[in-house]
Amino acid sequence: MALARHFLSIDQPQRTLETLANGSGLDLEDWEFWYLRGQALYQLNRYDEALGTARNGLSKEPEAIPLLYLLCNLHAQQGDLAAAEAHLLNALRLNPEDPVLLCRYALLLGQGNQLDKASQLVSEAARNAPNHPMVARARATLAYFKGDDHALLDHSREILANDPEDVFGHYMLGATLNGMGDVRGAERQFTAAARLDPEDQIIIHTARQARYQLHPLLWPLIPAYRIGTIRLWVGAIIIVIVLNTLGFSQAASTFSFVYLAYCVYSWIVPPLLRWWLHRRAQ
Amino acid sequence: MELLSPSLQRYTPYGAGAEEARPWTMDGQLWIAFFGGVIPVTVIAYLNTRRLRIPFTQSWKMIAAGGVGLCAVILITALPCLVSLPAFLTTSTLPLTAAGRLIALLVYVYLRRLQVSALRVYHWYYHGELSSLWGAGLAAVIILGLLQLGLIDWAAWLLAGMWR
Repeated sequence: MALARHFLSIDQPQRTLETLANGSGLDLEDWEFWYLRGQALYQLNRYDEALGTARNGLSKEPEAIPLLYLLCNLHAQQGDLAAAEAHLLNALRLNPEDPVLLCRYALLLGQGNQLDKASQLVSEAARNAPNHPMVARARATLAYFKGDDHALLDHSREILANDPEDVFGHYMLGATLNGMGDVRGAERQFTAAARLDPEDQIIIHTARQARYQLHPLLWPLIPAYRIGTIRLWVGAIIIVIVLNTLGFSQAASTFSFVYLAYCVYSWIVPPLLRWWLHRRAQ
Repeated sequence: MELLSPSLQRYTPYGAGAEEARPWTMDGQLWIAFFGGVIPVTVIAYLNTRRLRIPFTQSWKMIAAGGVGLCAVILITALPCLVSLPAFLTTSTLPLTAAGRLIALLVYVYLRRLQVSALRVYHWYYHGELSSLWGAGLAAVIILGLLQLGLIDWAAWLLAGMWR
């Protein structure tokens, strides 16, 4: 069991399973056996098997917090937030001040679009353990959901200050910079995240998409990314109205034509370019 | 502790039908607001809250915003019958039409704010693509847009009649 625990701690789920399968004298009545097996299966994305294994473990020990946490993750992964919440609340009843459990519940509520309650839970966790890494992660994730780019920037930098090789920190910083229209900075962060975790297909895909945005054909759109669609439209309409009111109708017409051409360019070129670059990469 | 009481028990998971009911794009709703007006954009945004799993505790604000926007448009349409306006506002229908469009766009901005968090959650956890609004959007603009025109004219006429 100790060897299986070791393999799981160094992120070797397949070897954990092999160790548990070959091990002699394992106590199948021990909930930890089922937890290690279930966690390894979860990390290998074999969710249905993991669910059965974790339930088996829970029948041996209904108050095993790691098993309740694992079941929460498995149900959340499958989108069944009600079941995930039930397991997590059982764990929280056993240890209501655990910052990891509180933050996990906050993220679960975030997934269910209940951001106010989620923020209160993270504040509660921060009161118990202000410097816990999970608190900064939960804060960053909720700031991202709320669209609070400045808070997200602060929390991402806080995560990276504690660990410059944190994949999540780089990814979140990339998402923030992307939201702020800094496509070059975002590309750097996504690439750093992809370099640190080359197995994660979502990060690889995001890094590739960010690289596409730096193509010279998209340079004219960088100011639009920074300003934002709504502000750009409102600004353009105001300019046209002002020019017309001042009697410069010719200039207003020219500006309208140029602006609409710019819009059409922004609608047509990015998807075509992405499609072409994606095809070329394959 | 109140914080540790369950609140996700009525959450509807994204099931096998999620493919047909993917959330709609936000930019598409801008065009619906511009060409259709307050009612089409509010209906589409409200239907989108179901696709985004936004609870009713938040989505009712959309109906309220749509209602306020509609009342404002009716009032503006009835304004020439209620008070005497400067000539440049009454010689053409353009200023009143533009004001109606502006109100619809303001309603859109608010509806967008209510949807943006849920959209980010959707992208984060489900990595899903968004659904195009071409079909539903066009239908909303034509059917609900016409319905809105009739409703506004009728309400404005009623309001003007009451005033007199």
